[in-house]
Amino acid sequence: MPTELKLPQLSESLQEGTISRWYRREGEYVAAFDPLLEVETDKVTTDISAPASGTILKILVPEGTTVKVGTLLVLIGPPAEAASPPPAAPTPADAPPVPAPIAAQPSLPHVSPVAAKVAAELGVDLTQVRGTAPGGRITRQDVLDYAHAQQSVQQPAPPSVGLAPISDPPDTFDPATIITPAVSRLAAQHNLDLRLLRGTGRGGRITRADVLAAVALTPPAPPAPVAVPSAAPPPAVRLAAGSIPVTGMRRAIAVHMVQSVATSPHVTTVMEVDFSAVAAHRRAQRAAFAARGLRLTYTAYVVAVVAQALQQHPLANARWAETEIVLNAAVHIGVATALDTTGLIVPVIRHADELSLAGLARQIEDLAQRARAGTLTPEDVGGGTFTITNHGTSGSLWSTPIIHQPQSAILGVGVIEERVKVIGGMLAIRPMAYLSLSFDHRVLDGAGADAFLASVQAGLAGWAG
Amino acid sequence: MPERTFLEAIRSALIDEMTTDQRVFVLGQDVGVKGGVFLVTDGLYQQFGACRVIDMPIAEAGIVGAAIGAALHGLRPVAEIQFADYIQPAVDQIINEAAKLRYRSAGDWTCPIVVRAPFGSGIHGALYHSQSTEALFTSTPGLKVVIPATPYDAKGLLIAAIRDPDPVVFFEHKQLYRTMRGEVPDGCYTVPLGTAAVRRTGRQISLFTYGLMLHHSLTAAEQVADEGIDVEVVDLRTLYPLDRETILASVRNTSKALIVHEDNLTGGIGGEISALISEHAFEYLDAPVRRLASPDVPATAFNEALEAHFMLNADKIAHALRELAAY
Repeated sequence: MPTELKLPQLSESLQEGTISRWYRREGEYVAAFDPLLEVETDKVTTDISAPASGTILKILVPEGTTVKVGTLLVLIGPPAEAASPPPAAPTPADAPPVPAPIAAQPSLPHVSPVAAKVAAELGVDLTQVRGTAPGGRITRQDVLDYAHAQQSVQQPAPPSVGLAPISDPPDTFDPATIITPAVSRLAAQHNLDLRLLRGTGRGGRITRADVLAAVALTPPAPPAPVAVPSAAPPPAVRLAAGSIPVTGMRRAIAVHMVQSVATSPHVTTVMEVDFSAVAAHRRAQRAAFAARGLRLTYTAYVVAVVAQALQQHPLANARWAETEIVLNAAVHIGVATALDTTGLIVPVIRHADELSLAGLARQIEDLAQRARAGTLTPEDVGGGTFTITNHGTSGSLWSTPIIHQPQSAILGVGVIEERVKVIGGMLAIRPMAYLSLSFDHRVLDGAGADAFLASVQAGLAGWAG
Repeated sequence: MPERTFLEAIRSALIDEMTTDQRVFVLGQDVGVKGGVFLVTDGLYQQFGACRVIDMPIAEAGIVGAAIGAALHGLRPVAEIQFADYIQPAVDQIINEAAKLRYRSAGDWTCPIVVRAPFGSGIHGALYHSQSTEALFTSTPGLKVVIPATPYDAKGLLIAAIRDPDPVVFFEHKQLYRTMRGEVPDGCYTVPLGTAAVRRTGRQISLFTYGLMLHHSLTAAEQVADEGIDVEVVDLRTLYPLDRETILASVRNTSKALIVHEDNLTGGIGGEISALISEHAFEYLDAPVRRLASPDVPATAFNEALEAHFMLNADKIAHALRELAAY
């Protein structure tokens, strides 16, 4: 017996509707729930689905016709020729891949909306599915089981909802190397070397608690390096807006620095030097020098060694002259001298390579005194071929000094302080300092500059008088 | 001091404040004759009459819209949304109207309304009776979002909310209504809005939470205390605006932070607190800031086992604390 489809009551007020389109023609197969026709009312246009699977036996209302609710529209029945598979349907849901029903089962099986939806998605003919729920109702699982048995489809994975959980990537680094902000801050605050700590956190990480425990065990350390020269504490000055007139010296320094940086490509290389030998010699000779009215300073040793090294490395005692590099025959070494807060001046020790340690000490003392007294002559500050700056006297470890034009290099001597060094597999405490050499890369390359600096380093470390 | 349940504390706040201030009235679905679906307003209708305890149709936008109008006429309405799940139709009124009135009128008008709503899961309420919707409001300047965790706070915060000149959304965890008891004074008193409370001091981990989760968190903190993990538990109480000072002071002290909320992970207040800590206490952190929250699924399941899986509890919080402590 064929299934009848009448125009349903699509809304409360609907009295009639116009059949605007048939999606299937007579003789074609239609699956249950597939759209079968389009109905236009005064309010909406909507699709009406097939109430059962089967062949369209008779379309009773042609397109364009307006009929009343309840009018019989179409008859659907078992296929006329059961052997031939139904043609593919031009609708979103493909016609089922299974043959048309063999036995006539015209009435719609009892099926829940979700089972119908899944059946449509999977192209399952519900008339072929056996319902397992009470009363023979077809459940979603029945549809899935049927589809699975037909092995034409796989059960779709449930749609993923929301965000997938984030899993941290496996650590590709040693967890012990993690330093958290809190640990970093506390270590800096308490001047603590984290390398000395053993971490108790995950994977050996140093925790905040580890740092606090170490701090609790450590006696308070002196806050500053020991080698800072005695200096009067800075006067308590209240900051105030204002201006400082630019003096001749300030302007000269400014012009020279800008010009130097603009002229020479500066490179700075740093080496560390052991002052043990120099310190021992100075200790031994200090009284004798003092008896002759001489103050024996570390600067004298540095000047002496540099003067000798410059003779072995003439490029460090040269200047760039565009078409040629001019090698200086004489070794005139300037020693930058700070003048309180007003500036600095660079008196020059002439023919430093020809002076003994005592001679150098005398020259340095004399020039420094006259510099502070403001009685240097133009000859005292001109003609230098190399410059040394003792920035270590203000506690500086190393620096990137600016070349005194037109020279090719300048040596900075950092603070001399006792450091732990590994010597011959043993820990030793040695008076150490960093030597910073800024050089003009037009004149010198890294290797040449380092060779010169190494000579200075060796001369100081191996000082033998 | 009399002991009251969480629910009785809220009712007490309403009765005391309605007695003190003739402008205060309540409105909502079934709040009158029935006394509210949870019986929070039980007896108010008999005590104050139909003019001050008004049954409203099932139309949340209408409930809040009427409250706004009444507030503009000088009254102090306390609107009840039967479940926080149903607050959505009123969101337009709350966010677009109430929250913006002061700004829109350049300070000439304020909107002193309170919108109360039970929230949270754990009572087999499934989709429409379990949601945590606070995050809808915690990014809306002009609103205050308050979630008490104790009976004392419930009364004091509700009275403070009623007296506040601006709109306050007041969420009550429905699981606390009858399970949580505590001393609640008679008469009116207030707990200041915008202030968190340190419920347990500790040195190793700061745990930030609110509502029902406060009690699970305190239980978890006790569990791990025996293992040497010292947890500070902070009850946020007001989610917007957050008590930044208390949060940052705690993290600077402990160096680790865990945020626990029943609301979904993504978009919950935990993300905001985490960002706050990263921005202002970065140098103090000894571990990543962690969040423990409900999974990002559309709603609490009806199925009991799935609901249990969805819900946080003391064991889950203790587990998160142990992981953070071990970092």
